[in-house]
Amino acid sequence: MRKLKLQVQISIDGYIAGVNGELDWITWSLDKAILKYISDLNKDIDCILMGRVLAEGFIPHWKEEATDPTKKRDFVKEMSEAYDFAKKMHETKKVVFTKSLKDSTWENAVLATGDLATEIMTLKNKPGGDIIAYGGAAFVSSLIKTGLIDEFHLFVNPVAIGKGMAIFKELDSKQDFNLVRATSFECGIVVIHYQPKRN
Amino acid sequence: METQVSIDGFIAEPDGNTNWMIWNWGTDWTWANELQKHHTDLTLSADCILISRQMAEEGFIAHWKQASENSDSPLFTFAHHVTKTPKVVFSNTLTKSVAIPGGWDTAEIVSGNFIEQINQLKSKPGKNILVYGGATLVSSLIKERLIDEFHILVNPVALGNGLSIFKTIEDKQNMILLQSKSFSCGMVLLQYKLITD
Repeated sequence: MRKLKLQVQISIDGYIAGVNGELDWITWSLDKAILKYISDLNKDIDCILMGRVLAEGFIPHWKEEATDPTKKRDFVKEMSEAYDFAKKMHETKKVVFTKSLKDSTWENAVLATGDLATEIMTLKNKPGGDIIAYGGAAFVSSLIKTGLIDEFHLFVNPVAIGKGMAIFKELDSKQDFNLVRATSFECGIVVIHYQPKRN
Repeated sequence: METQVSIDGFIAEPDGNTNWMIWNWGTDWTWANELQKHHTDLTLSADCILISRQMAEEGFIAHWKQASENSDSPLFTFAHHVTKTPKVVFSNTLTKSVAIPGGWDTAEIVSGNFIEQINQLKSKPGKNILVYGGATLVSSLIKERLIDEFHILVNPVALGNGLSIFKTIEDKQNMILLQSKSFSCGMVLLQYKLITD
């Protein structure tokens, strides 16, 4: 079965966004080692899951980054890597979960409108590479509740924000995890990798 | 500050329950040896422990006094140091005429202006001041930016909801990552220094 991974930026106090979706607390100047971690994590991914809210920003953003000729500055190595990443985000198949949209107007994206757990199980049972989700808060909360995420990669940023959007709040009962590893990076982020314990 | 949290950042369930912790402060020390050492070393670096009124009343002093009676226990060095180290209880209502479990021999009550009193303690010569809890005391210290170093021990469990220690801060607080460590028992240590500017 395909693995479902979660990669999210999170504050010390457990929020993935501010009350109004603010992301200004996130460390954007990433060091080489963490970029390698992200690249390895996404290497075998051929499907990205997201909620409708995130899709509205995510899909047009990466399309622009990947198709705007002024961004293709591949003579600079760092830019070339950023461009490759944008291209991957643009070209990878997206599945957008929505109850309100009827048709996808986005490239490389299909809609999923059925029961979340059923849709995810169908996707996981198909042949293919691994599946990943990056956000947003409402979608990830529902996803966590289904218990279908196989790997959690929490990018703990060195900041407490006090209040914001949490992702575990829909759990009906405690969820135990196995710690796989914690890795600290020069940029101040600690990535904690967990697998959920299943009965 | 050294405190245990869940993956989602809570120090207790909504009703105060902490039995989800790998080690819930009992006599059987269910942490990996390396983490026991970190915890003991941190405690030994302190010559003053801040405790909340509630902890004093609920038996923090008596609990560790009792644990320090068994010199064969891996907990002994920690429990013995906690027992002999002076404790400070910040409270504007408590007096020493009220008996607490374990007694007042090693504890003082400090009252008045919270920020002034804590700053006064910090400006005295001596070693580190340590606080483990409880939720209200730690929240107040965090809100007033009085904690210099955070040792956050993340238990491998998500609770869904519970008591948070950062919820009273008004602005975001940026930290410098000093180190992180993972332990075979599943715990992760996140050690930060508050950025003051």
